[in-house]
Amino acid sequence: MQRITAVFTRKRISIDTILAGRCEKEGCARVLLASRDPGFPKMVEHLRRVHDVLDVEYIEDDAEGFALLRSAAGRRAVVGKAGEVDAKVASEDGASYVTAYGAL
Amino acid sequence: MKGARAVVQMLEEQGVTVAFGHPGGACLPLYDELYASKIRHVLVRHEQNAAHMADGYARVLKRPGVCIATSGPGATNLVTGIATAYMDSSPIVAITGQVATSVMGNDAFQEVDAFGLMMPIVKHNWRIEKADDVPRVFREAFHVCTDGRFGPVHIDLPLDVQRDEVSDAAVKAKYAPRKVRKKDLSRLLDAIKFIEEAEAPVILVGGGGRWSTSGAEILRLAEMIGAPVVTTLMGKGSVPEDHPLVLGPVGMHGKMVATHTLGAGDLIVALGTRFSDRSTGKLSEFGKQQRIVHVDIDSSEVGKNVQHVVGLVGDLYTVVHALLAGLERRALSKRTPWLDRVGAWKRECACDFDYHGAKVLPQKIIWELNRHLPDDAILTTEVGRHQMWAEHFFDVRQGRTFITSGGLGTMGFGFPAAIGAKIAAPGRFVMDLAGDGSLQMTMKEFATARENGVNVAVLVMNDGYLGMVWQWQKMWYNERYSAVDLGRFPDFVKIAEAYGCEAVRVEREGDLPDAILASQEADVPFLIDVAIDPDELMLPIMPPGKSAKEVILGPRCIWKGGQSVASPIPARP
Repeated sequence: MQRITAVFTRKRISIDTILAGRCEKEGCARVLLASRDPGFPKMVEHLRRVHDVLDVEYIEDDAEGFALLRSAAGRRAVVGKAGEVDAKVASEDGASYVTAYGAL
Repeated sequence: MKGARAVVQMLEEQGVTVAFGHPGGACLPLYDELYASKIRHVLVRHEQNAAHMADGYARVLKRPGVCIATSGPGATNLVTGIATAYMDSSPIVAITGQVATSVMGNDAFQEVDAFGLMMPIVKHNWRIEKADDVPRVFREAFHVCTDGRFGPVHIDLPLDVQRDEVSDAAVKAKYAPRKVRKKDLSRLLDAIKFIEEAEAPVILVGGGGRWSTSGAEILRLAEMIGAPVVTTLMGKGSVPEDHPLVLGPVGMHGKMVATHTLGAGDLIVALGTRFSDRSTGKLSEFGKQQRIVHVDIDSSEVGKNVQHVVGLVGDLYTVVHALLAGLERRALSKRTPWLDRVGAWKRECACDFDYHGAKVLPQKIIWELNRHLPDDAILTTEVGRHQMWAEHFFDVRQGRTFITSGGLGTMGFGFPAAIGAKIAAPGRFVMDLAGDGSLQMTMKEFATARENGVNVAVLVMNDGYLGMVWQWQKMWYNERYSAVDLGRFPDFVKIAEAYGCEAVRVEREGDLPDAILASQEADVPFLIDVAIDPDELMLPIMPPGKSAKEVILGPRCIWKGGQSVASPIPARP
């Protein structure tokens, strides 16, 4: 993971979301990264260079969104398309929240 | 077998015969095994130079050089050398000792996070945590460093791993790479079409040309498509510079004919180059009028610095052969007008740099080197003005090799690299062209050279200044010379003699040939200290951040701006 994020650090591209976990290949992990940075799509080839990275795929923006909200009313999760989640979060004025985006 | 024994066995299995290194507390078991092995160990005086020597060794033989250092300061000292190799895509395998895994992370004596330190400057690195991983990691490391684009790798080897037992099964297990490098020749037909349509093609060769040793193929391609060949600093020597189509280096201190031709053509076939700012000048001005075919082994380089290229990904040797095969049956135009024009430019740029002055001029030194070095000589350089004079004027004829630190620009690289190169090719004459500033960074290695009977020659262009910085301060900082005066010390002749080497001081240009010839006859390392004219500027220079149109020419430069031949190629939309 450090090797992957180091590539982004060096190229000064910020990542909005990192999602990593076990996957169908034994001993491997799948990592989802999401970013709004215009330079983001070009990173595919730079990531391929990393020895540990088996393959890289770029998926354009129909991302799933996910948000956790905490307000006076309690905690809840919001799931949907990225845009919808953003809109919901924006409508919750003053609540603490965290959002995540990803696509498969 | 013990982990340390397995390490040595793996090195032998990979065909390693020489290792450069410096022992210490955290790699004692490994050194104990080296004591009994057939691997020749070269003891350096500073770990940085172990990496530079491995680098120089690798650049001559095109196979991995090995360097070894201990944990903590040993590992940090290696960093500069490994970063140098990384920037110039040189395959070295660096092994560092590490404190035992039981105390790792507790700030133990001589502990540093070498794994984390090296990560950004190697192709890949490993921290071995159990002895059974030793065989796999070493096999993988040697595979990775020469697979695809070459590059350094690093292995962190804790003390207890060196002592623990490795199972026979682990030693016998075969290594199979998980990842297969992809070639991408899908745009080969586009590339061929561009080459066919071009009226004025130019071939630009970078460091990839040297690593793949495909100079002969590149020349065949050049002859076939009627294109002049220019090189970057790292590509210098990939094609013999006495070939009529080869124009020499481009870039900040390149030859005017090369830079001008590159800008005047309508197609650039870029082979194994990353379009460094030092070779292109201002990137937004570069390649505006040209179509570009970019061949590189590393897919991430295609389109990195120069966009809108036709990219071919693969080993240069393979790709150039594919281009040759694709172009062979086609009726290519001879492009005689273009080659005539380039030929006229080449004549306009062919200055006689046999300059005479009251003090020895640096160009004169290179002129004498051109004449008196053998045809299979290896010339390494440090970093600074002497490097640029060598780039500009030194003639890398068939069989000669030119080794320099282009990417990172590491002062002090040349001398240890020369030692590594001499060990790789004991039959060839190796000279390090040094500046007085650079040599002082690594001159302790005279001891290594003398002890190991590595008879390299060093020629110091001694101006008493950090000349390159001095020149920039003169040209762009209103002659405010800040921290560039090195004074009169040391006396390099005495330094060399203190290490048991021979040395001469040259103050008149007439003494140069004898000194150069004597250095080839010497039975010990040989130093030539030449006092050069400190006021001579390294020109021409393309000012940093400026384009090829704004090059500053030298007072003796006979270049007329390419005016001797009219009609530049009309720009393509």
